[in-house]
Amino acid sequence: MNGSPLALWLGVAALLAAAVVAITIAIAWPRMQARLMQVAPARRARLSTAMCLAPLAAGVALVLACLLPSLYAALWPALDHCTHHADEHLHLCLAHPPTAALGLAGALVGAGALALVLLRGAPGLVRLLRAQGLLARLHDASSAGPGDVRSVDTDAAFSFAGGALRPTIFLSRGLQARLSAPELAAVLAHERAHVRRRDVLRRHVARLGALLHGPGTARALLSALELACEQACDEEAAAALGDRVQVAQAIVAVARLAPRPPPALAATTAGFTAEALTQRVTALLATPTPELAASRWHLLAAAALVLLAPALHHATETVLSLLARP
Amino acid sequence: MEHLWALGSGDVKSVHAALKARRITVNTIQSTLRRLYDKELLRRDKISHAHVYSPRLTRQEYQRQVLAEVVGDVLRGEADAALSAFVDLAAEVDEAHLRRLEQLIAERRGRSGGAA
Repeated sequence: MNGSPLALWLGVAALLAAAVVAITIAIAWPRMQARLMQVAPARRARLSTAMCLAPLAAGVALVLACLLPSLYAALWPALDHCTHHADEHLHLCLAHPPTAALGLAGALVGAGALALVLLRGAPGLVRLLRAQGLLARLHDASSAGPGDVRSVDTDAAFSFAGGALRPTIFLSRGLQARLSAPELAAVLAHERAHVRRRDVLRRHVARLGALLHGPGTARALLSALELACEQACDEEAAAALGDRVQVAQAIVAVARLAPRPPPALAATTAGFTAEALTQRVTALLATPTPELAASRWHLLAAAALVLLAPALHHATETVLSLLARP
Repeated sequence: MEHLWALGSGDVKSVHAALKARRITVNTIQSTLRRLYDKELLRRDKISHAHVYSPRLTRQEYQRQVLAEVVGDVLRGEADAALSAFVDLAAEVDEAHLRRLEQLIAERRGRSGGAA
């Protein structure tokens, strides 16, 4: 019997791993959410990003784990375990390509899942390209402002950090004219924190990873990431200015000046905006949660992958055998 | 547009002659001028056998129009995918809510002042 290509089996394994992790996070999210909110913002942003990327990372890690035994066998032939298998056993091995073929049900589910992910990602990609185009036009239509800021000559009051690879701060003249000097300093310190942390790029990467989550979980994780990034920048601004209340005051002042959106858009965002504003302001008025130093969990995960690769490889072969054509 | 702003008006031949160094064909110039006319950025008069184009807007008016369009699109949330705003550009927070937050800030300022 002609077997399906190794890449196809590895793809199916990656999709299964991603699905298991996505379902686990979806089930655990209601409990995790409350605990996550107690974590300091910068660490919360890292954790939210990691959870968005977890299904993708699990898929990639499992593919690596499946291929590592081939590498071990190439370096030390005594470790080649394929010879211990029966011939009809599914081999996830570079030296002994699989002889089993993927069954119709497995192929349909895999193709359906892949098509769903691509369909979900396409509108986001179109929105992103349009947004980047708009920012490029805004950059051309704006002028150099104070320091690293682009000044936008309009009465509307707004400020933001835009662009993924080369983030830029845009500040409208309307906002400059209506804020006091301390409020403006808080706004700029916050936007500089976004630029330093590369938050726009972080959100793009998280959105890409979130495509492998269910729609509800993806929305919840991305909202948590959004709030964590804003609060992390509030904290950096407060530290730079040495005054937390000044940043809280600037947030309320800018919210008061914010341009009114069309009613349809306002209806969908009002709840989140008001809640996020309250959380940001009350967090700044409270005693700050201490930030912990970045842990070395990724090194531990890499070591575990290297050590557990043969066991994961074998377990994956066994599970995938269930999807093989009889 | 740059050429027409500098000279005030011109036909396809004169614009092509001015942009010769860029190796743009007459057909490209012709279709570009027609598109700019369709977008109402140029005015067109037929003089003898040729269409003579002139800008409808001054350079400053055009730049203001472009800026207004881009800012409008940004404020409608069309660039949200690529930016992090200080306060959500679609913020719609009611007055009572803002007053409550301002009151909290004032109380905190009061406590800090009292403690100092």
